[in-house]
Amino acid sequence: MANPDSEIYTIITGAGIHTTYSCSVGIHTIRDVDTVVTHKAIFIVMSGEDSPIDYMDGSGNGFRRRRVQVVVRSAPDEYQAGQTLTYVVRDVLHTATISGKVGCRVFSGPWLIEKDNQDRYIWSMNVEVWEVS
Amino acid sequence: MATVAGYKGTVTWNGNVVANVVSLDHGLNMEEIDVSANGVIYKQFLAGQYDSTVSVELHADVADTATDALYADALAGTSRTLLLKFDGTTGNQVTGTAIITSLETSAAQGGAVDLSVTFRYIGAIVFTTS
Repeated sequence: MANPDSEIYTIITGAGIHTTYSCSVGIHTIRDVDTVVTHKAIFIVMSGEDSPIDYMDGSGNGFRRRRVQVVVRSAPDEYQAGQTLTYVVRDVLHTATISGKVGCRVFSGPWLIEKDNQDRYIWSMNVEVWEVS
Repeated sequence: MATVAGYKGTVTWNGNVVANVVSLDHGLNMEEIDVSANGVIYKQFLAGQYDSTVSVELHADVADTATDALYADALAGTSRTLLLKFDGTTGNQVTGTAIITSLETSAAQGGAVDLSVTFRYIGAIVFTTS
């Protein structure tokens, strides 16, 4: 069973968002432009999970809410385009169907976090992927 | 008896372990027969009849045989063997024949589909201790 950050990456790239909006997508914390990362970019990281609700059935499994932070960065001075990309990402992730998972929700955000020192706008949203494991 | 972690418990209905159980409550209740004579200072009682119920909360698993059977047996009023193991293996356990007296399914946008089931043992129950 893949980690939720990989699942989120697959949903975003599977929807073709990176090609439609000409942005990079990566499973890593936010970082500056390099050979892989573009100004307009999507960053995906696991941000933690609650204690599981353990099941009393001898399986050793439990219900887990695993959390992923998704950060969207615009190109310099492209607030509106960045916001559009952000909400496209939100819409494709919220209630997405993931094989082997119980559910997927954007449970907070997107929030506009800042305009960085290169005039790029940054939004963040938090996604919960529910699984039994 | 050693202390047992609650998550080790299991609920078995008609020989199949019920999946995704998150809580288990078993109650054994006895009627008290008041045989106090007039004028006595302290009331006096005799042991009366017993009844026993079980409440189970679980996350409904649509692929689980035992969970499916709970619905079918609730609708048919079918009695089955209900076995509760509090350590999942050889420790304290309770067994007897039971019917399902209530079954409630609930769903909310923020979590899994919950199933709440109440059983009543319809005859004698057997406690086994380790």
